[in-house]
Amino acid sequence: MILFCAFGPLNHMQQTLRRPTKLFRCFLRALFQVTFVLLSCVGGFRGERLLLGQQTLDTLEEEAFQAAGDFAQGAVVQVETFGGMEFVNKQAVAPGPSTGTILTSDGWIVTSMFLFRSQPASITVILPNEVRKAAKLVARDYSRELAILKIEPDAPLQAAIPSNPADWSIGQWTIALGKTFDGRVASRSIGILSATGRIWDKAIQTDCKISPQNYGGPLVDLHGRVMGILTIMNPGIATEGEVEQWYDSGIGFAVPLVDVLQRLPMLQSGQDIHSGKAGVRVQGRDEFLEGLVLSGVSPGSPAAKSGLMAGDKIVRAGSSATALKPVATHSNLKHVLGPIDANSKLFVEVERQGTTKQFEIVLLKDLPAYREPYLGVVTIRDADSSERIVQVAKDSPASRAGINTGDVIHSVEGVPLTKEAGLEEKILFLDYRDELKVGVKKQNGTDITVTIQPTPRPDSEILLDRMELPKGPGGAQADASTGMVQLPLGDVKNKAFAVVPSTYEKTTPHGLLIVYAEAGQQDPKRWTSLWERFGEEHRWIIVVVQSADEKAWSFEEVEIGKRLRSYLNTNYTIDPRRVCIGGVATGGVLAIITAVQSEGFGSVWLCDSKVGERLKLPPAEPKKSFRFFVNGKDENLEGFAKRTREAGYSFQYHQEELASLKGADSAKLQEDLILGKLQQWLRSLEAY
Amino acid sequence: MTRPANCVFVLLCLWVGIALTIENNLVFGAPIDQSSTTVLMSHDTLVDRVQEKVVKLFGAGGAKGLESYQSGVLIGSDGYILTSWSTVLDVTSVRVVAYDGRRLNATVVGVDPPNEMALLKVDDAGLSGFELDTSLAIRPGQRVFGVSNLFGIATGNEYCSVQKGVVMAVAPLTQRRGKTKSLYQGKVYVIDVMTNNPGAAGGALIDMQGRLIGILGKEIRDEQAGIWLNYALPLDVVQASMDRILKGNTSVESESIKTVDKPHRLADLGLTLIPDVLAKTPAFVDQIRKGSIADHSGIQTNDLILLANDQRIDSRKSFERVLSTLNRADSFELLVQRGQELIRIQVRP
Repeated sequence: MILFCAFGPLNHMQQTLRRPTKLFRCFLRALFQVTFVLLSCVGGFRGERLLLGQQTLDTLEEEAFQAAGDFAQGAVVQVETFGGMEFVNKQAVAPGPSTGTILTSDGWIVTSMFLFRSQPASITVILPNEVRKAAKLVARDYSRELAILKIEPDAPLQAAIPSNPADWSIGQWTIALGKTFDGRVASRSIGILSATGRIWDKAIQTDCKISPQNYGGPLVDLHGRVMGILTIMNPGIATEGEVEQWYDSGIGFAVPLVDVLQRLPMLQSGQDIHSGKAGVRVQGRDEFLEGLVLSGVSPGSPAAKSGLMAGDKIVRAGSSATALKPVATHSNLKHVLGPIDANSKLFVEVERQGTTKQFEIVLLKDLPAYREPYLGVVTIRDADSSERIVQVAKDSPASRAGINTGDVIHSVEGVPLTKEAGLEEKILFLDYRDELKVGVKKQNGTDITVTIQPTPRPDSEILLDRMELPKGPGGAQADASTGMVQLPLGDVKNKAFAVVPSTYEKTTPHGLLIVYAEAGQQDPKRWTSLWERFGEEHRWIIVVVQSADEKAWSFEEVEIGKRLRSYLNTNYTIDPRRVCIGGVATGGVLAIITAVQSEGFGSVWLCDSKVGERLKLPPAEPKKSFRFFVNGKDENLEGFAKRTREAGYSFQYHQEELASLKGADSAKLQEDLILGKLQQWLRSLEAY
Repeated sequence: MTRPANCVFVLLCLWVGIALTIENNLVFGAPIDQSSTTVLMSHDTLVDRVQEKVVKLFGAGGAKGLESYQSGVLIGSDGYILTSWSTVLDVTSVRVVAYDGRRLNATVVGVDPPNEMALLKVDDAGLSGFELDTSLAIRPGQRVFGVSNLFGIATGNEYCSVQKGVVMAVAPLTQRRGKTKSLYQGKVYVIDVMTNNPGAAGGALIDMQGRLIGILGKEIRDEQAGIWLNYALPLDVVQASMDRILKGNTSVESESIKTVDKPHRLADLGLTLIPDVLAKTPAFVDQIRKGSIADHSGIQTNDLILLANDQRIDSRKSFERVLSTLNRADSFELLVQRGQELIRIQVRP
C-alpha cells in the first residue's frame, strides 16, 4: 500500500479507497488511529476531519463503559438496613440503601461499614434479579472499613471477577458502580485510576465520583473485572471508626478485591479484622527523615516483647521474612505496617551496635495501655549515681517491699544506675505490670536484692511527711534575683513575674510552676502572699504569665510558656522532675497545649477551667505521661478526668474552685483548702 | 539530514498524506460505522452550536447564600427560555445575556413550582434554541456534557462552562440518600458532572451529538450528612412543565403524602409494636390480639416490619405514617422479617 501511495496521485487514491474490503478497512482503521495519535502529538491540525477520530473514540469508549458496567452489575446488590440509631458521634446517619458486591456464588457479600455504624435491626439485600433476601452481618474489617454479609440464595449468584493488580496502570479507565438508586441497573461514574498504594498501602485511588451512593460497590476495569471495593477512607484516619468522609472531591478510595478475598476465610469464620500495632516510637517528628532509629518501644507492646529496643535502627521490614523491603523513613515503615492486620506478623531487620538482627513481631489490635509505674519513693542522687531514699510513701509498692528511708538503690535488674539513666528514668520505660528487681544497700551495710511490684501512679493524693532536704554541696550564695522578679519576654505584650524564694541557692534544684493566669491584670502581691511560704519551704519557683489581651488568651501565646521554661532553666537551677504548667480559667487550655507540644513539662494544673466536651489526649507514653491536678466546677471536667485516666495518665480531680484567687479577704488565703491540696500535690511530684 | 532520517521523514509525510486522505474519504464518503445514522460533530463545533442555545441569567439575589445568577436554555425559535424556578426570578424583568454578549430583557411567562421549572421569554431577538425531543433514550453510563454558567464565571460574550461526565443513574429524586427537602420528587438523571454549584441550575445537559437531554437541577445537599447530588430534569418532565405553564395551568397537585379520613390504625388491626424508646425504634411486633385482622393475616409476635405497600418502614413512626395514608377498607401488603426469612403478608380487613 505504502508503495502504491508513494506513486499514485492523491485524488486517485480517494477513488480507489471508496469501497475497501473488510480486511483493508481494519488495516485502515489501525493506520488511521496511529496517525491520529501521531498528529495529536504534533499538534496544530485541528480540523473537523481529525476530530472525527475523537468522536469515534468517544463512541467506542462509551460502548466499552456500557459493556463493562452491564457485565459487572450482575455481581452488585442493593443493601438496605432498617431501624438503628439516627446519630452516631453527633453526625446524622443518612437513611436509605447502600451497595454491596457479591464475592462468592453461595452468598458472601462485601459492603462498606457505612450502613452499620447505626447498628440497624435488620439488613436486607436486593439481588440483581430483584429478589430480596435477609442478610446477616458476619464480620467487619475495621482496618479497611468493610463488612461481610451472608445471604442464603435460591440459586448460585454471579460473583465478582477480580482484576489482576499486575495489569493496572495509572490513568486507565475505571468505572464505579452503585445500587443506591436502582436495585436493577447499577449507577455508573466514570474516571481513571489515580494512584495505587494509598492509605498506607491499603487502597487504590480513583477520580470517579465516590460517595455513599456507591460505597460498597465495585470499582471495575474496562473488562468489567473488579479492581476494588469502594469504601469510606481517607488518609487522616486517626482512630478506627472515626473517618471523615470526602464526598465528591475528585478523590475516592477502593480496597483491592484481592486483599478482600485473601481475608475472606477469616471474616467468614466471624472474626473481625483490625489494624495491627507494634508499639515502636521513632526519633524525631519528621516522617520523612532518613534513618529510622527507635526512640523507644512501648512497655508491654509486641515490639518490646520481641526484643526491639530504643536505639535500634530499622533497615528493612515486611510482612514475611523472605520479602523484606528497605525502609529508610517512618513513612516507609507505615506503608509496610498499614496492610498488616492485628495477629499477623511484621518482620524487621535492625542494626544494633554494628550487628544486624531480625525480629518477628506479632502485631496487636490494641497496645497495652501505658501507665507511669510508681514505687512511692523520694530520693536524692548520690555522687556515684545511686539513689538515696529520703522518704517512702505509706502503703506504696516500695513500703510493701520493705524499702526504708536511708536505703541506697544502686542497680536495677543487675545493671548499675548511671548519671544518664537514673532510677526514675529507668522505671519510666518499664511495664508497671512487671516486677522489678533492685539492688539495695541497707543502712547496716548489707547489700540485698529487693523485688518490687510497681503500681500505676495513683490518682489519689500521695501523702509525704514533711522533710528537711539536705542542701546541695557548696552553699555559694545565689547570684540570681529572688523575691518578686519581673521576667523579660522580648517582643510580646505579655508580662510575666516570678515568685523566687528568698532562700534560693543555685546549688539546690527548685521546682518550677508556670501559670497562665486568668486573662487580665494580675496582682503580684496576691500571688506572692499565696506562694511565698510554700516556695521557701519546698523549694519552688512560681511564674505567673499575664495575657496580652485584657480579655482573652490566644493560642499563639503557648509560645510564652515554652520561652519562660527555657529562660528559667538557663538562669535558675530547676529540678527537671518537678516542672509543672498551670492555667487558671481560660489559661487552662493553653496549659494543656503547652504541655503536649513541648518537652519538659511533666505535670499540668488546671484551675477553674472549662474544657471541650470531647477533649481527649493521645494515649500516654513514657515521658509523655503528664500528672494532672484539676480543680473546678465545669460540667465537662468529670468526663475529661475519665477519658484522661483511660488514656493512661494520673489525674487528681477536685470540684472546689480556687476562691483565694478571687476573694478579697487576704487573711484567709492560706486557709483555702484546695490550695492546700494543690500544694500537697506539687510536693508529691518529687515522689515516683 | 542523514539518509535513514530522510527516509523516515518521507515515510512520515506519506503516512500523514494517507491519513488525511482517508479522513477526507471518511467524512465525505463512507463513514467508518456504516450502521450509525447520526451525524458526529467535533467537540468544538458541537460546543459552538450548543453555546448559542444556552443563556446567562441575572436577577434578584446577591444576599448571603443566595446568588443573583443562573443559567437558562433556549427552546425553539420564539425566544422561550427554560430555567429553574428560583429567587433569581423574583424581579419584574430578568436580564438575559446571550452567547454573543447581547443583553436582553426577559419576562417570566410562568412558573411550575412542583417541578421547580420556570419559563421566560425574550422578544424578537432572533435566537434559536433546542428542540425538545422527548424520544431520546437515556441510559446509565451514557456520556454527557453539562453546559451552564456555574459560579457566574462567564460574562458578556464569554461562553458558558462545559463539563463532562456520564449519566450515573435514572431514578426518582426521592431515592437518593439523605434528607434534603426538594419540592420535586420525580424522575431525574443523576449525573457525575459536577453541576451541583451556584449558577448551574437551568443549564443544559446534552448528549455527544449536541442534543438537549435535560435541564440541570438545583443545588441539593443533605445538610446533616453532607452528601451532594448532581442531577438534571428529563425532557418529558420539562416538556410537561412547559405545556402546563403555556396553558396557564400550574396548580398541579404535588405528590405529597395524603392522609385519608378513615385510615388503618394499629389498635384496629390488633397490632402492638414495641414501645418507641428511640427516634428510630424498629417496627417489631410486640403483641397480636387474638382474632384480630393482624392475627388472621398471619402476622406473628417478633416479626419485624420492613415494607408496607413497598414503602420502607424504618421505625414505628414511619409505619404509623404509612397506615394513615391507607383507607381502612383497603387491604395492603407487608414485608416482614421472621428470623432470617423474609415473608410477604397480605393484610385484609
